[in-house]
Amino acid sequence: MNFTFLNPSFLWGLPVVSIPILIHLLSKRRPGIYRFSTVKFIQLASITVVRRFRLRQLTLLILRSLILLLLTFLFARPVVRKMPLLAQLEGASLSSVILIDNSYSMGYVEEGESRFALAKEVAKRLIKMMKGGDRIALFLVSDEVKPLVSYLTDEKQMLLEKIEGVSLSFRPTNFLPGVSQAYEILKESRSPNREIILVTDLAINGWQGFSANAIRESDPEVRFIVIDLSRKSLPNVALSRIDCSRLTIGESFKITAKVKNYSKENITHLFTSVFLEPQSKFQIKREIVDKVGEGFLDLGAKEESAKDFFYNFPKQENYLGKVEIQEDSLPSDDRLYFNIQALEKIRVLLVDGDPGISSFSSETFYLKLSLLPASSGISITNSPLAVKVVTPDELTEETVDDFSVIFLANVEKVPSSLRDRLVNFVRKGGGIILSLGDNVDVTEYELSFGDLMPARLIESKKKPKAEGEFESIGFQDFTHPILHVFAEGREGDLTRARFHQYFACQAKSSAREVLSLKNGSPLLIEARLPYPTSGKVLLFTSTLDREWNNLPTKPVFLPLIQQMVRYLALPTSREEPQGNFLVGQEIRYELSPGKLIVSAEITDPEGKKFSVFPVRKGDFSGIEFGPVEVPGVYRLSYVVDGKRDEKYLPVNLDIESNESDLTKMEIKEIRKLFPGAPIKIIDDLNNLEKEILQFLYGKEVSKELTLILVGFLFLEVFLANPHKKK
Amino acid sequence: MEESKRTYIDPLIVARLSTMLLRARFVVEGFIAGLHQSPYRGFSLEFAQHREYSPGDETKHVDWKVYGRKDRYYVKQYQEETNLKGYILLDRSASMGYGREGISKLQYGSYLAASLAFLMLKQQDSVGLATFDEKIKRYIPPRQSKGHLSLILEELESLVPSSRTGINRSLQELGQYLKRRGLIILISDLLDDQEEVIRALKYFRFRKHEVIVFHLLDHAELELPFKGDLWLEDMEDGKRVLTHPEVIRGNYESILKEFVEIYKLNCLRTDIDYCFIDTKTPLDLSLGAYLSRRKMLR
Repeated sequence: MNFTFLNPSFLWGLPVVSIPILIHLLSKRRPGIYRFSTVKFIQLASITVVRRFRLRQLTLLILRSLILLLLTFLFARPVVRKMPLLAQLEGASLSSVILIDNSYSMGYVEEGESRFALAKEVAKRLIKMMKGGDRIALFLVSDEVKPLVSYLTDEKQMLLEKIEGVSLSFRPTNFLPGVSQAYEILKESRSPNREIILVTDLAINGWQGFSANAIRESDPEVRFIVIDLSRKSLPNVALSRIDCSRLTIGESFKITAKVKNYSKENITHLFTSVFLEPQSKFQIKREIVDKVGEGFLDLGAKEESAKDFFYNFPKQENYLGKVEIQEDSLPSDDRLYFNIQALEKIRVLLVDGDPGISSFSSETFYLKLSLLPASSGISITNSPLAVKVVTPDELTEETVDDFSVIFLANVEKVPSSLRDRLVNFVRKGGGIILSLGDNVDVTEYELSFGDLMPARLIESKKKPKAEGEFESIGFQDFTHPILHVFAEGREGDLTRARFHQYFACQAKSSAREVLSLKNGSPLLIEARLPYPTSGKVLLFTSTLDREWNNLPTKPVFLPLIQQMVRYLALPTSREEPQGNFLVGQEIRYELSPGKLIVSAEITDPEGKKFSVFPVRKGDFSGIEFGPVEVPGVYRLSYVVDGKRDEKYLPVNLDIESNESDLTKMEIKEIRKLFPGAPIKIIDDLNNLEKEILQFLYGKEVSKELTLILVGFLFLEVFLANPHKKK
Repeated sequence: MEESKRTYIDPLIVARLSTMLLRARFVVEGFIAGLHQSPYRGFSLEFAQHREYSPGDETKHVDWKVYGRKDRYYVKQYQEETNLKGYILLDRSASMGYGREGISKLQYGSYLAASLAFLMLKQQDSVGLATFDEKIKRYIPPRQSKGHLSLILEELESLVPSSRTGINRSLQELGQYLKRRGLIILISDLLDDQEEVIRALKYFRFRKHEVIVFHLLDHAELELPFKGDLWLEDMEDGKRVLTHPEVIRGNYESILKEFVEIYKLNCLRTDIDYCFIDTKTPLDLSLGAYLSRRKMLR
């Protein structure tokens, strides 16, 4: 804390303080000697009185000096400030950079007014405080720095107009870039008085990763004023995440909404609802209106809870969804958008290379049974799978592109007319499972599938069943999606199956072994195909009936086959609905390579349209747009290969940034971030101007000094005129 | 009413007179002249004059012969007779030499002693004088003759203050000279060991002596009227004390008052006449103290 003076010239009067001391010294003459009858009584009378008298004299001397000192100070108009002594001069011009917190937490509504509206009012008041020669730069700060006036200017009216036009962003906060930029601007200023004013709700998120060391242009002479708009810690609940299980039509679809309570109080019966709408019905500038589920949720203090909703999609389509919780004082984080694809039944074609006289003796008997398990509680019509069994001869009549997965079970060879169709089928994303058997012609297979084959078949190996010899599974790659469900023995133990016969083969270097026998011979291999957008091929080196092994009789057979089909049938990432973009990010949408995009257009949730140009960067081919600033559903329209198409892209708040946590940053923690720097935190908006002026120029303490002076004068009168004993 | 009109005898005026005899006569005669009726005249055997009877006079003093001649009542008045021996004990120690304005305590004491001697001799009493500091310096035994007065006055005129006060020792010494009971008049500032002085005075009372104490103090000793810082030097032992009179005045007055009160109280208890005298006090007023005591002795 420093003392300065508004009229320092009066300090020349300070020597008057020595007047009482001089008078005291001058009046202290050598005492005379006087003969007196007796000094006995004098001595007795002096014992305590003289000591007290001398003490009083000394007190009076100090008091009189202080009175003169205070009088001199009063004329000089003393000012108390916490700043370096020479940096601030009243009357000198002032350069300020005003940073207005524009993060979405500033949308918190209190007493009918959002904190951001309050921040604008405060900024206007700050601008109105400008006097001649003062200059101000103005920025909005979230995780980006948005200049309103990026240079120091004295045009008050222009600054006020700029503030009037701004609106709240949906971004999280990060003060570091804004503060750095403010220091940089002030570095150019020659004004002796420089300050950064941050108008914020002090929500804790904005200060994550903030440190004064990180600011290159940090200047200890620049004062930092934080205007705290938060009144008290108020409750806030935010939707933090939506998880959707991806299933096919006919299955119950689970939507899990995760909700986080950021307040210190428990919240009960929080109303939560989910909306779903087919993209074909959705209209931009309109919210998703079809509510498909609702419920209540209880949340403990600072706790995250999940609410599950279940839904059966009526048809295959891309759906847009929205989960919404009961609106609170910060409405922007009370809803999340998502999109989801409801798939049609997986069509599976079983090519039976060894059809029997009865279905039981057919090569595909166990396969069909495992794909359509009638006793599973799901009726066949509701099954997500559609299975068709054909013989190799009938295969030529089938349109293979109608199927997602084709099983070639112990098929001797593939007719040459089908070879190209099957290769194209795989290239288009189809899945083929080759299971072997007695009928398989090694040479034909090599010729038929070529690059698609994950391994080179060598010969059939047989163990005499009568002697009880067999091979069993020795290696399982549980990291492979097919075997996920078998990890930790959850769906049974594959190693119990006995293999009496199998094809020895040599896996290609690019192939991935999923299962191997104990002797090291591969059992299930996945081909890694040279076409980037192709489907998948699996090779099972034994039979899928009981001919060569007893696997079909084991409980693990059903989940294994189901997993294989799902793995092959589900679309590649390319075909999945892309999206779940965040505010502040670019929308980067990838389209199929080789497709020529003629034109593309983005329509934001408010209906504004933006033309975008296709981008091709290395492997990426699609469109880039943004960053996007408003949450909601965006529409991407484009013309590709002469055909017009539309995609709907949900954009949400960056909830994981923790911006919804309104916990106020501790003042002492803020001070720690600016060690040694002059910092002032103002939370009394009624006295905003006064507090700022006091911080800048200090507080004139003449009134206080006058009171002290009067007190000293009274004391002086009292001490100088002691009460005489009567 | 009459008292207020009376002009008292200022010690300063007395001091201007050239000889001690003149001073004593001036005081005593002035004092007597101030009294309209002397209560100390008219009750001895030697006739002095007649006075008209007034209510309250004893009828045994009525002169019936004059009544027979003039048909009016007159009472007889007689010249007083006494065989009282008075001892005036005057302190001449150095502290008695203090006097801020006008006369010193010793001068005042001398005038008082001379006046008393003059008055006593005039009243047919015998009177003696002893002057002392640490001990008795001069002792003049009591006589009733006219020439004896000049001896006493001569001694009083020659007094010079010296040495320390030794009241107790001096009183003890005086005791050796007293063969029969008498009137002891102590004139002193009593600046000595208070307990010792009181014990000595009590001794005289025990020996059936009548005692009158004239306690003399200068007005400056009572009020300490000095200003500014001062070194005060003791007149008896030369000891110096640096003091601020204005500061200690209140305390000093309290202490001195207590000092005087102790004498006054002890004298009262032992039936000693205690007469506190500021040296500004008119001398004739001081004589009154003696006379009241003298009356009691009758």
